[in-house]
Amino acid sequence: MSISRRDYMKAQAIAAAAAAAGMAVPGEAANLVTEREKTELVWSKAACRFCGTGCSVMVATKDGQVVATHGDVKAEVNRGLNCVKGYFLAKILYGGDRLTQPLLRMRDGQYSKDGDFEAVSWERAFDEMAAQFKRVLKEKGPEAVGMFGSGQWTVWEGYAASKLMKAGFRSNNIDPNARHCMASAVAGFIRTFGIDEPMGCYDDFENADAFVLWGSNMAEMHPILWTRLTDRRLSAPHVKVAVLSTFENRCFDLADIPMVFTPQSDLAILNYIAKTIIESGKVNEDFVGKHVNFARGNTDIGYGLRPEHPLEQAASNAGKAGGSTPMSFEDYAAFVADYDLAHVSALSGVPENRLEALAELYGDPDTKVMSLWTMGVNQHTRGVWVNNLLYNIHLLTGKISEPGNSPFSLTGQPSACGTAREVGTFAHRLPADLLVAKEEHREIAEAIWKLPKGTIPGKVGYHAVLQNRMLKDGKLNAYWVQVNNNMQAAPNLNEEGFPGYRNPENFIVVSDAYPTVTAQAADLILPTAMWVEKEGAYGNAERRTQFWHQLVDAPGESKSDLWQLVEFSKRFTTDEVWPQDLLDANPDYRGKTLYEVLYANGQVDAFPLEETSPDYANHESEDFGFYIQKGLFEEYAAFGRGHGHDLAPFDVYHEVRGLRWPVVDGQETRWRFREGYDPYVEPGSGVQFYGKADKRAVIYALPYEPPAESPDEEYDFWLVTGRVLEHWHSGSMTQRVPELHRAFPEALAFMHPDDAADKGLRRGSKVLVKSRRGEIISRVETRGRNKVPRGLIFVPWFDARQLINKVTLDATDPISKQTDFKKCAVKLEAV
Amino acid sequence: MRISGPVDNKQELHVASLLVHCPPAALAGTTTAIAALQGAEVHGADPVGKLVVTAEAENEGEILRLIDRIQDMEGVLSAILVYHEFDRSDATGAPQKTERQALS
Repeated sequence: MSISRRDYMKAQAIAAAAAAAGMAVPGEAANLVTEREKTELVWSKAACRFCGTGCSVMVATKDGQVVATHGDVKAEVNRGLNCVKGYFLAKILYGGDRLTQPLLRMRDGQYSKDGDFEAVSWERAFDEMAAQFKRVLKEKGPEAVGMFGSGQWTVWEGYAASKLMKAGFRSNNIDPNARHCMASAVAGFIRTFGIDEPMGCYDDFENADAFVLWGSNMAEMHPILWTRLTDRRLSAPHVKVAVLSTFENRCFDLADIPMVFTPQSDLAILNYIAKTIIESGKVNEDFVGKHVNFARGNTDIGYGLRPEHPLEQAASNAGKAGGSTPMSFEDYAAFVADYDLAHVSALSGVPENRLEALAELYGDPDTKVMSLWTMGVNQHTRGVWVNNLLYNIHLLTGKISEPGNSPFSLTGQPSACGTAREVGTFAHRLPADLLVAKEEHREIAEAIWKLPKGTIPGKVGYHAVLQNRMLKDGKLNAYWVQVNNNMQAAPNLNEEGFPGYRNPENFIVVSDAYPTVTAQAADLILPTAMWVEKEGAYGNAERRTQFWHQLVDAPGESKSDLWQLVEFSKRFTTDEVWPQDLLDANPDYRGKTLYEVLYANGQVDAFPLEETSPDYANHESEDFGFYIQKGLFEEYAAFGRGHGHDLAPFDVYHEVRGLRWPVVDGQETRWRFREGYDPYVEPGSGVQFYGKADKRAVIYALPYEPPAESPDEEYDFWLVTGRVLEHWHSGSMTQRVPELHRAFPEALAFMHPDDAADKGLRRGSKVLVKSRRGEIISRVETRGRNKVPRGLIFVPWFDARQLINKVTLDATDPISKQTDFKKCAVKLEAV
Repeated sequence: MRISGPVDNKQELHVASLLVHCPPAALAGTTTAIAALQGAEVHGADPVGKLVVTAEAENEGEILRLIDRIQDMEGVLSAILVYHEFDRSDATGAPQKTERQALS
């Protein structure tokens, strides 16, 4: 058969697209794909390392390099599709400035805070790092040691880090960058349901009659899920899509009910919907009577700024932000009655008829509604409230925990759920929703970890924003950053982040694959193996846990975060870091290294090297001499099994395309809290919100309160920051893919053409964006994918040359401690 | 040590396929508009509003620009890549050495 190379490639491409679309395959192309795949390349599955969607990708290796990736047709999540970022996934490994050796700031052969980076051995790097950590531990104790991790850590990396900090160094000053991303969602879940993460799953996309997007630009940020939503909308003409945002984005193309609202007025819109549901008799009284309690949340809770800030001084409940008191349904109905249509329309700028249409979607008992949200809701000084208010609507109508009826919190990072949340790498958490502040929870962790009672401290550690403040104030002095670019990502870097890292009292270690802004602000940089250069596990937004094998070797001397954590633990003995009374009471633990008590504890090292796959390398296990990923995972899984967070046996995950927890008797759970789907719900009860002791969820009365900073005469524009399709994770990886970089090379200030004209600016003009805290120069964009309303600009934050977080305000949600990156006041000047 | 793939960029053929969504009423118009793009071809349509499209070009940047232009068309709701392959004389398909991005 004679077929040209070009025809051959096209036939394969068409076959793949037709299969993904569920269409008949034109021509006879299908068989060709597998033939070539079998003969030339080795294909293995992996979870994509970008967003929280959790697509599975097939990764081809040849001669020790990743040479191709494509969407995994066997994956339920993405069904063979890939977004542009996923498509270029392999290239993130091969940026020209990949770090390959430890780099230490040196002067005259010695470490020096103001020295220049010089390549050193791992031995030298860990010598200095251990000396610095020991100095700080001796001078100031465990509270001066801290770590900033990530929702991009693999499950076992986050788990190993949590153990090292909380039980090894006995400091709860460990927090993930998921604090910037998902903390409000977490606190919303815990407050309403008593257990974290969505009750529904992606199967809801094919079952819903209406979709409502609240502050989520899915078309750009979660393109694969957007494709599933689009597919549903087109194939079922009765389906409606409502989109709410503070500016028009690509999702508006599909919107039946488009709504641009004034920042912060989402609080009022949600209360208006609740009021309308109640007053139009659409409350599901049976559901509410059996499964719901009502509570009045504390108000006037401040803005999570430094305590001396006037806004905190003025707030009456800044210290009791999460508090509430029980109330009746009647009192709740009276509370939301204030949010009448005319008032809310005026406050939000959304026309009355669109608000009515939105309320009708939620109220109609025959319309199954999926609500979707991400950073617009979470990065909000009242982010926990907005999460609570969203659940209120689904609970009032009973539209929850069944196919198509689904309040669904989307996730930014690939393992914000699997690692940051489930492993509990937050300053206040332990695995499986346990809390460090509760003695009985600490005792559970100490028992599973085979450590003496009293090892884990009970004081909640410094959260993300507080870590930067404490670095600046000289209270946090030995600090390790892994898998994130927080110098660029955290708010107000001029006043908090940079002064903190460069404070002469502090020793800052950054583990990364590339010289990010954060790495360049460090004192020691550790070169890090990434993604398929190590065996990994991620957990996505629908509770799906996914594994992959190490497929290639990392360049140079790079080592995974896991290797770094465990290897570093060998440098400390309990006598050096644990207090005398703990050692006196538990003499068996004297003279042991942290490695011995945390990792070589008979559990983590229980599985021999022979159990690793013969087909794949595993650099950490080969170094430590046992199957460390399996040992860590199985020890970790003990926290959740039998407690609503059940994970399957380790080996299963290498075979399947992920499973959604709780996995009980080999079966995953698609809808939690609903009898027939969730094995934890008792027969005959129908629905049980078993995260709460009385198995009832809570509807909270929470008001509209103004933002921390709004435009005024001098600073007359809203600044909203966010992402664009092509870049993720601050651009630290995606900016190294030339195609992605060229597609969106530099950040732009999206603004309304009339505003631009008023300021004497045109498309492409340089513009100074200035707040009370800092300024950057950007370029004006008046066209393109984002259409902003008058009085507001949108600037993406991926660009290290336009550090928009010099401008933002470090106001946080007082309950979740998550920063509001979506609202502050700026002025604009032509340059 | 730096990992670097072959840097020779000449004589490449890139073929990608896309799944494009648009409202059913816009199918005909979108098909015509895509067919008018150099390097793009429509191979099939589903009346609910789906098109199977291929893009051919000499480099990945061109492929991306084609996708961008399709994404920005009036009526197009989403344009998602499904497959990509490229061919050159040594036929390894190994990744390119990427440029260093300035960090200032």
